[in-house]
Amino acid sequence: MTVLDEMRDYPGARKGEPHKSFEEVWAQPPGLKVLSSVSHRVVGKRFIATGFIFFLIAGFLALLVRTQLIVPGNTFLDAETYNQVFTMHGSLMMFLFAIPILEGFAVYLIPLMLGARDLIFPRLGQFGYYCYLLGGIIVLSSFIFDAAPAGGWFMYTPLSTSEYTPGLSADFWLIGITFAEIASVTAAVELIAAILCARAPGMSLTKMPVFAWYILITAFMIAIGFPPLIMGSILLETQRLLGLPFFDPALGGDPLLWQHLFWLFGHPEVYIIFLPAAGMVSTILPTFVGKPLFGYGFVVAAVVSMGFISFGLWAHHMFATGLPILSLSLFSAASTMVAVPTGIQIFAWIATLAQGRPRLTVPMLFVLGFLFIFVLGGLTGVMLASVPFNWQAHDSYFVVAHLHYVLIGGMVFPLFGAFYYWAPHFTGRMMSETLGKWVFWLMFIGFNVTFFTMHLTGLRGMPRRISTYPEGIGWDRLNLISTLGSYVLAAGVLLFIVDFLRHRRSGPPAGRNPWGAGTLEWLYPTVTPGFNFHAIPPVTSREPLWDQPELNDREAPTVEGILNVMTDGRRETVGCDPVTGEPIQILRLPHPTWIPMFSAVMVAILFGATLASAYWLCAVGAVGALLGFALWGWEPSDSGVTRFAGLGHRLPVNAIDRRSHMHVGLIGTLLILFALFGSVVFGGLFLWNTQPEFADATARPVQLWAALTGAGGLLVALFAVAARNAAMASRFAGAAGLGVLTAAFAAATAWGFWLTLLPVDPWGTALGAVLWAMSGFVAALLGTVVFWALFNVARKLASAVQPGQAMADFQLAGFAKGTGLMTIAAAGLLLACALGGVG
Amino acid sequence: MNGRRTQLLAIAGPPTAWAIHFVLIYSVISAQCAPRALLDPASSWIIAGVGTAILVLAAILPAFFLRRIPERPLVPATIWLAVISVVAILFDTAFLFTFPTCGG
Amino acid sequence: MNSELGEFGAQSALVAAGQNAEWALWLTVLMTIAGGVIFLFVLWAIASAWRSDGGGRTWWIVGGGVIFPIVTLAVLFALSTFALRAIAGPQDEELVIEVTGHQYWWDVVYDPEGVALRDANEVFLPVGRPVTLRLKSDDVIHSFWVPSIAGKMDMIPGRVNELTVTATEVGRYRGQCAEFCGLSHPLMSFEAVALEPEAFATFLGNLQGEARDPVRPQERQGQEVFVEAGCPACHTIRGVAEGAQIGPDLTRVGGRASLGAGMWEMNLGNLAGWISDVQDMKPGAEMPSYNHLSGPDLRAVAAYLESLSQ
Repeated sequence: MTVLDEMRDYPGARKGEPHKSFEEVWAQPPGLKVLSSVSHRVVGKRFIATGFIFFLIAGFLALLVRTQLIVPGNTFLDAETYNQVFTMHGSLMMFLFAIPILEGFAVYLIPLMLGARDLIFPRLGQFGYYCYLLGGIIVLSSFIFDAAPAGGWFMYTPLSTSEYTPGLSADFWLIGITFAEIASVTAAVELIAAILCARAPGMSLTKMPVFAWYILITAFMIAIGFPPLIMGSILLETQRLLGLPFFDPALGGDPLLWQHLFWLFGHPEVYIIFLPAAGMVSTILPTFVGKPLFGYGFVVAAVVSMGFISFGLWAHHMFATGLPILSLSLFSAASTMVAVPTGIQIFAWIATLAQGRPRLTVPMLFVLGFLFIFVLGGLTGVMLASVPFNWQAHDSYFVVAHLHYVLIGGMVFPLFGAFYYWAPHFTGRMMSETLGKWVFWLMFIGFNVTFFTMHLTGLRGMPRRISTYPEGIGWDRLNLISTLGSYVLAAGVLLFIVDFLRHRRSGPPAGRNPWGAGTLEWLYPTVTPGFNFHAIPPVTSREPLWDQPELNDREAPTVEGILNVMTDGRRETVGCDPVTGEPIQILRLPHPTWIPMFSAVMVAILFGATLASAYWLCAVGAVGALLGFALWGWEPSDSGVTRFAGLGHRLPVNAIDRRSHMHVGLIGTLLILFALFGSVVFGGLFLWNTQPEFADATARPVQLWAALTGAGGLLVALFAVAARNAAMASRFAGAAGLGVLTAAFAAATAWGFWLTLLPVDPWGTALGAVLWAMSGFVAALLGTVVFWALFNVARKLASAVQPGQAMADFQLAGFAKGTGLMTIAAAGLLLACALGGVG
Repeated sequence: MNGRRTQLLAIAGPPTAWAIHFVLIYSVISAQCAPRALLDPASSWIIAGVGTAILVLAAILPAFFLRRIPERPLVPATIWLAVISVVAILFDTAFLFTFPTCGG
Repeated sequence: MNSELGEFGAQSALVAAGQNAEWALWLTVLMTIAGGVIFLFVLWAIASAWRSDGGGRTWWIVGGGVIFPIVTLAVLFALSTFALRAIAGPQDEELVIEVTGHQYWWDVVYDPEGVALRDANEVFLPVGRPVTLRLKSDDVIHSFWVPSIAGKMDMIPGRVNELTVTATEVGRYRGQCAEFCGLSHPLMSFEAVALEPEAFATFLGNLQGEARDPVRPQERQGQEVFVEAGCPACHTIRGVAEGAQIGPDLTRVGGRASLGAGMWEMNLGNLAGWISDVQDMKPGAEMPSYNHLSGPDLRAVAAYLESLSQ
């Protein structure tokens, strides 16, 4: 590896380690400093390992549930403990196992598959991981304080309000889970930007491995699907802490609003879990058939349409809540339609199987097990879309059977297949084919015995979430069978752990591409070195290892590619055009740092102190987190120079461009913010529409201030754009002045919301409370604009920027445009309330 | 319009049309069937009918620009996306005309 | 928990004794058969694909993944909509019964707009006549479910949900709360009793009026204990203590087949045990345990309550 030394006083180079070799620059920090690692390989493995531990804990809780139900009238667990156990089982599995472990695999695999040395926001990855870990610890610690949540993983109001759940148990859930969700949304932004902006030269969208399509769509779904729950949790926690009546029917709130927000998240969540696992299937299956996935275009169409249609199903979890028949029919129709993209994928896999002679390895066994179980689960899902049948099956064990068929079949089986398939990547060794077959059959048989039985248990009338049932009404034997099956399933998981621990020492070395796969992550002999690629090879095929002989006929480190030189002693990877995959820039990557971890710990203090009602400590956490974010951003800019990148390319470093990773990341972030805003607006419209008499009782906001606030939103965006234009033209003094004005207008606009809403009593009606929440959310975004604009000004005053380094202004302009739009929308709604009267 | 934009539009267009249609139908039903009763059945039929016609057209529109898509493998994906989206739009509308009122 | 609950009849969606349940059962059978056939077809397709190496065909995906599901789903959706219209369509000569969910029991009012006869934890239905159940809740969300009669419908605070059912066969059917409602959620069941119309009219007739007067001295003592111990603060016994609606109406409590919302057989022993230690039998119930009552008082009040049958 040549180390190039282009001399120039360039701030970005100050972060480099010019005296080190390429390998040393990428080396994992030694000892305890490994905690400061930002590498996607380290962070990804941490997500996977932590997620697996939560899986084991949640699985153990499931065994407690099954043991309690083994005989009627069992006294193994009392009702309180049982409720805690099933609540935590669901919450841990959904929030702390399924999503994070799949994101862990994505974080680990995506750069390897796409030809990048790291994800392009590695610090965000580290930050997300610590948020997830600390959030998980908060949720689990509730057991220690004897305040484990017992209201079900769905936290329905009013059961979860302080009136019916006093104490801290629901707060542990709301705060811990919301905190852990930060990891999910940050990983989503990270994956969207990485997939669109950091691929090997020539890897256009259609040459992407199909796994990347699955993860891309999943990441977009997370960005839109998680906000309704985050917003709902914030509203519910506010109701518990401050008594604002969002869900209180006595003051015009509605318990159904919580259900809508919860399932607006909860249904897409199922597909967010299923899609990455299906992506694993679409990756593993072709390897063992030895032929590419059949119908790539069909599968992409199916995945994209699934990403959309799955947002139109949420109310099929609410068929028994008394929705009008017309709504039931709409959601019933939309629910049945999702079978089409599912069917396309299943038949694409079948067609792929038909192309060659498949090898029956352990990963392949799990894929076949997945097909068997998931198809059954899909068929019961179609049954559940039928309203009259759903009224019987809803909240009965039939649904328990269905959801485990879909989730264990659709996610856990592919996941275990993925463990066997990618284990060589983690350890350099192969897991046992013999033990693996035992693991599979134990899990497969145990699973079907446990859950197939439950279809019948449910039709025989057994409701979910009951800690005990009477003898002699036809449930005894079925429950006994289910419980015995669950032990067999658990034995399979246990044997997997044994095999995994065993293979780390005594498994046969895997070497290079042990399965004969076609995707790029198998280019190097396992374990791949930490920088992934010495040089990033141009890609001309979806299965480069099958179709590009130049990749196979020499030692991996000597494969030709871009960035075969290192500049400025920095970690870097190549940035591409999102559509065509043409290299357009060099992306500079951060070196190991503690700042994201510090920021995450500070946010944890902010959240944790809320639980302890130690509000001074909250303030400490908030200030610390802001400080962390400021330190994070306060570093010499990388933009403004071009560097030689090998293969005849000379590319700008961290280009300021709409196609660049920062801009794509910003769009992902704005998507999340708009979804949060949309969720609270939905809440307002919902309450206005369903509770007219309480809307009448809500006081009117002030017309004049509403109008001025809207105008303020426009000005904030305009000044931020002007500041960007000045900075892009290197007129830094002007940009600083405009930045101060941007901050001033943002602060004034936030104040405008306060003046607009003064007559409205947030404790008086739920609609009033929602208006305050909506305005508070937008005001918080305006506060971010203030912080960011002043931050940019300070950097200019401190002469920390040079010509060509306008990235921060460029990004802020985009953010301010989004914020301005939300401000105008919010002010418009307030104005409508003021003019027409709320009612 | 350049090829890149056409390509993104061709992929995102049909499902976006579905999404807009879904929101439209959901809003119409919510307006008709909530205590406020903002719409009577006849008006919601008209709104839903006209909206569906427009959005079906919008969903198949990108298929007319297939020649401009630089990456040929995406062409079948685009066509099938349009097919799925149109079928889903029609499915999400049909029932509306089988129930005379909100309560069935 | 006890074994005698089996005598109360099944709680099964597979034993249909009401119009809604019959439609749902019909759909269940149909969809199970269709789903089974489709499942076997997919397995067969996988097996034959495994053996062949002739290459996939696009028409498999178009046929199996697009056309077949669309046609099947259209048929299913049409059938489902047909059933929905049959169930939810307007009915003639409806009788209205109002059921309110409480943690953890059911308040039942017959003819709420008319003479308003209050009872609890048993719902009597005339066979062959549509009954509109007006479902409400006073605290958290509950769900009303008698699988043999109809699918479930939630009881949501601040809302009134209506469920129209028609029982088709005489019998006793077990029902249970189907929405998680707190600590004693599994102990919140009830019975639906389908009677011939004449028998139903007789039942309603008997329900009217005041409670049966105590006859034996022990029962008279029990009535005094009932009043002195403060029970009327929550419970109504018409003619003795009226107005309170916090707990179940006890006017015909001894006539019910079960105690504690469908959980224990109604007899002297269970009644006395319930009064003295309700928090052990049903944790989290609003009623405190009356374990300070003397033995004779406890027996007397239990005997009095058991005598209240009409």
